[in-house]
Amino acid sequence: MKIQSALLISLLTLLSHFTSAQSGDINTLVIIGNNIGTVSMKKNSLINVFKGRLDSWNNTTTVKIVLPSQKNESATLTAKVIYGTTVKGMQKFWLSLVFQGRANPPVFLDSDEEIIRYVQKNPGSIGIIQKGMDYPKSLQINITN
Amino acid sequence: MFKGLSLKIWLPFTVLLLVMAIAFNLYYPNKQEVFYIKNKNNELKELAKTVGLGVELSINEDNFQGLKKTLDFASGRKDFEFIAIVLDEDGEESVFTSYPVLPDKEILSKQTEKYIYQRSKFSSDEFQGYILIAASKLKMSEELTALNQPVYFSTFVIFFLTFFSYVAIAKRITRPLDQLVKITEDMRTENFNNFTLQEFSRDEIGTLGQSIYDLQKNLIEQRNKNKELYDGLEDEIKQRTKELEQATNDLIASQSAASLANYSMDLHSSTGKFPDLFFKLLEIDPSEVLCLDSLKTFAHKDDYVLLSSLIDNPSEDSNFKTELRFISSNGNTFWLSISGLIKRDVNSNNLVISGLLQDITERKNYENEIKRLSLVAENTSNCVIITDADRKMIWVNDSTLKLTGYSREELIGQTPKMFQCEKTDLKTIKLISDKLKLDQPVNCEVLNRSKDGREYWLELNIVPLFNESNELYGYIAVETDITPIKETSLELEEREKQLRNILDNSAEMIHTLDKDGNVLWANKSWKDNLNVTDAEILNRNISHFLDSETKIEFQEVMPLLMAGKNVNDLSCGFITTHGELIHLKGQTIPLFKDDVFIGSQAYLHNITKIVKAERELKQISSMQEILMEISFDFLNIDPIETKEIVLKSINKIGNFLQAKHISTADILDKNSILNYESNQENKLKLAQADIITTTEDHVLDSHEVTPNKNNEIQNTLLIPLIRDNHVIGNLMLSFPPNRMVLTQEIELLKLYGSMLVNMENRFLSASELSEAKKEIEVINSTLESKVLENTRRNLDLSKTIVEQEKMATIGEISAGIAHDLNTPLGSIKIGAESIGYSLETIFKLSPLLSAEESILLLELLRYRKIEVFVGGLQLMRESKEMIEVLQNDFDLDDSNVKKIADLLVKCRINKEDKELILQITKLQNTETFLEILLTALTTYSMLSSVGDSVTRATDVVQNIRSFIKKDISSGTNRKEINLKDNIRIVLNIFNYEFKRNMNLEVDIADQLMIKGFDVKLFQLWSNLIKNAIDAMENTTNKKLIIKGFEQEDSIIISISNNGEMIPEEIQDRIFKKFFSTKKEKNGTGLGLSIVQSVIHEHSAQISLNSTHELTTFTVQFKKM
Repeated sequence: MKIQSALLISLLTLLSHFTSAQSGDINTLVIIGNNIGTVSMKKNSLINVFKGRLDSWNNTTTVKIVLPSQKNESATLTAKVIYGTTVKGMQKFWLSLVFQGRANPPVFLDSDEEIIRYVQKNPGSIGIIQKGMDYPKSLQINITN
Repeated sequence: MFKGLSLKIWLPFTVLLLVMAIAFNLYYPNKQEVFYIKNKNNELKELAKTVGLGVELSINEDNFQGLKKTLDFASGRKDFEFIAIVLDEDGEESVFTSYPVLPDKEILSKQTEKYIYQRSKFSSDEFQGYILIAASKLKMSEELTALNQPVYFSTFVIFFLTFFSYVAIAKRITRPLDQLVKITEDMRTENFNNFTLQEFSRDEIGTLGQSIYDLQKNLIEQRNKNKELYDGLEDEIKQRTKELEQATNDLIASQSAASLANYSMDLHSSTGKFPDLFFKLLEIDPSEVLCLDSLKTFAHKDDYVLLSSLIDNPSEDSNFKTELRFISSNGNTFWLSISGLIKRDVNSNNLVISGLLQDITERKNYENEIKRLSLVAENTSNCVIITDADRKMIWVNDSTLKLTGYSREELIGQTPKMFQCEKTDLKTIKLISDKLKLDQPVNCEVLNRSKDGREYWLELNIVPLFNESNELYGYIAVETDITPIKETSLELEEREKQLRNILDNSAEMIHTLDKDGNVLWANKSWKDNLNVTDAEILNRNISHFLDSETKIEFQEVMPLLMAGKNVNDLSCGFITTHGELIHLKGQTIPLFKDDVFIGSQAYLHNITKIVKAERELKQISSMQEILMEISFDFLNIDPIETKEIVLKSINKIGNFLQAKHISTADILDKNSILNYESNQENKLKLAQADIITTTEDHVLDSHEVTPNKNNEIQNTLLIPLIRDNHVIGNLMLSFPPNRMVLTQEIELLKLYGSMLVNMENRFLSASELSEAKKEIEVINSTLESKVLENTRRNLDLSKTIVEQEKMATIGEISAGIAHDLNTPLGSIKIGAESIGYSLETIFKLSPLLSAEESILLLELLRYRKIEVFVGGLQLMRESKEMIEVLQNDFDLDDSNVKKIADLLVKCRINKEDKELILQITKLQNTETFLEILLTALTTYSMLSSVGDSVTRATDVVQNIRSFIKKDISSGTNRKEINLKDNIRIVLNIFNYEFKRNMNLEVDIADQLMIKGFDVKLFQLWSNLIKNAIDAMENTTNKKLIIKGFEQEDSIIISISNNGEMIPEEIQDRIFKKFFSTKKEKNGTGLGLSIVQSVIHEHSAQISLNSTHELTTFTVQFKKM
């Protein structure tokens, strides 16, 4: 009984956490993409993309994920909103995925400006930046629920 | 397969191959496995490390690219079973992830029998663990087997291939060998009929077989030939025996011709059989029995041992050949060549020696001669070359190699043309060729070139060689290197040319005469000075060019030259083609050849200008002197006495001119000249107002020549006397013929004329004044006192006027003198300097001095000056000291030590300067050198004095006017003056006075320096010294003492003499202007007033102390 209670509590905690993460304020972030075949995307689709579950876009260009590095201020928020974990957790996630050969590793950049420049130059790339940054509006991907 | 092959050949090799194959297959797989596993472990370890680094980079740096690439590479190889990230947290291990994904249990359980593991640690902040890699042993074993299979197969193939190759080769080798064995067997059994010829292929083994085949074929042919030969052999032997007998007879004849003969010596019985030839050579009777011991007695002493050894102890060889000398019974030496055979018995005892002996005396003599000649040819310093008839070198000696630089191999076979070069004279080459064509010997000089390009001269002697048939078989050339002689000869020619060039272009006049005084050669200067050409002078006697005086002197000079003496200080006069006389000075030296006088050579310097300048200076000085005297007479007289003075001065100048070869001097009125002219047959064609003008160095023209009363030819000079632009009279002067009148003299006489006119003017004024006075006396007798007063005033005024006029006159005279003296003074100065340079040239060319002596002389002249005023007592004292030094330190011969010491002292060479004295005394002609040095130093010193005096005279002349006008200081600058040097110059001027009979003592410190005017100081010292000399005129033992020294703040110069005492009553007046005690001796009264003026200018003081013993003027300057 005690074990069952403990499991239940843990499950609930995890669920609440997951829910919180899933329902994190994605509006505090801006998704930008270059030639990914769409200008809007559902939130779940977006998370799937960022978790390496998509290799190529509908227009056949290869998916290139661009993420903030540990040094980037956006890293914590991105890890929380997209991966529902900490920055280290995000790294372990990608370590596991890459080690098992299930996905290509993302590009980690130290500032939002670098992320904007990278996305501009690389078709098929998708990245996350904080709101308030100047970026070409043509790159913006609208997120819908 | 093995048919024809022995078991011994193929079996061991087969077994060996088999064993090697088995051993290899046993050894190789094990080694391969160990190597494979080790390699695999290393690879896995490296992979684990790389993955660990990738993980660290991913976690710490967000860089997953490295990890991705490593894993892609590893997954591509597929040589591991799995790879996993194992976390290790405090010893608790858990699998983080793996590839491929396996259960944690399988990863963490260590299944070492199934896998081999490798791990590598990694760590980050929150992430520690290791990378674990596992590889399947089963898979590895399969891989290893797959690797080894080709090796096994290859080993098998190689075994069989080697085996079959061996068998094939063995069969190929053994086949021809078998054939050889068969042939040998056939030959042994002489079974030639069963030969079966077998062809072989043409490879290496086949060649061997073919050779055996050919051998077999040849053997058959040879056998057939041998059979034929054997059949004809018997006839051949008979024929040959006959030929042999004939040859034996020929041999005996040949032996006889070649002085050959047989001999035999029985060593056992010590007897010998010798041919007649031998007895003939020994000059003994052939019937005599010659035992071996007696044979030894004929041996030459140097060959006795050899002969004894030959007889008593023959060599172990059976054959011998030797050459020995023997002495005949009559003492003649001859050579024998002895060859022979020693026969021994079974016990090796020597029994008989027999053989041939030959008389080789003639050959030996030839050989010795050839040996001697060879030694000469080889060792001579001359080059020796032997060629064949085609002139190709067949032998050269070492000297040739050394000179030409070629090796013997390079020369042999070449012709000597190879030594010639483009500079070799073509005529010489043709001469050699022509002579050799005619088989004649050649002797000439030729220029050749060595291998290294050096040119050399040879004296060449080529002799053709002929054999007994008189046929040319070669040439022998003996060549002497004459390059040094040739170069010296060329250099001598060049030197002679240079010397001739120097002499020809010398400023000196140089000529060479033969023993009779005929001109052989004269240089350019000589011809230019006399204005002659070579054609006009060569082989003409020198007396044609000499003036009358020199001709007489020449007669005296010739004997001296013939006696081998140099004639120095030769003064002579030459007459140019224009009839001009030129004065020459120099020396002439005799020329000898093989001790026979062949002529003379003279080095002369043209001193015409100097002689003229000296003459002019004398004339001008005298004229100046008399005019000065007259001028001062005028200054001191009353105008009333003027007329008398004028007459007196006319007499005076008349006397002077007479003394100067001017016959008469008259003053004529303007009409007298006309009368004079009318009385003469040759009238003077001159205007009255003109002066007869002459130019310098010019004798009066003939139309100006008139006879005097005694009908002697006279030159006449008229000086017009002009007043108010009217001629009032003439000063007429007559000169003897050829008396030159100088422009300066005319100018002075003109001045004198104007002075006369001036005096006349004053005479007239004075007369008028006297008359006016008398009139006043008459008219104003009542006002006598007033008149007297006025008269006195007028007289004072007139005296002042006269004084001023006097001064004006002196000023004019001085200006004239200054103007006229400057030109000759300049000439004298230039002349003095050029004499110095000329003397230097003369000393350089002096034949009395060697080159070393000339250099030393010029060096001494350059840095050394002598003081000519050194007193005699001082010289004597120094001479004594020098004699001691020369005797003690230089060990000089007593005979000439005094003279050398005197000369050294006179040349002012200090006895302490021993290095210089040593240098001089070591010279070949010390005495001559010192005499020349003294003469040169004295001459240079005098020339220096002349130069200084001229400078001083120039300054004095320029300052006369300013001195009179009391404006002495204007135009001059004070400068630092060494008083010793200043006084020395003045002393040099008076040197002629001191030399007469005066004892001069000078003791002046070296560095007495003041600031002042050097010319003025010259005047100061010259006046004081002149006064002192004049004061001692009547003194018998004259003594002049000059001292200079420092005293506290002053410099003192005292000049003392032992002449007449200056009376006390006039001592305070002697410094006043125009005061003179020597009026009767033409004293001007200006000397001491000039002294006073100079003393004043230098802010100095002068004092006088005069006693009966000594009169001393002491000048005291303030120190600088």
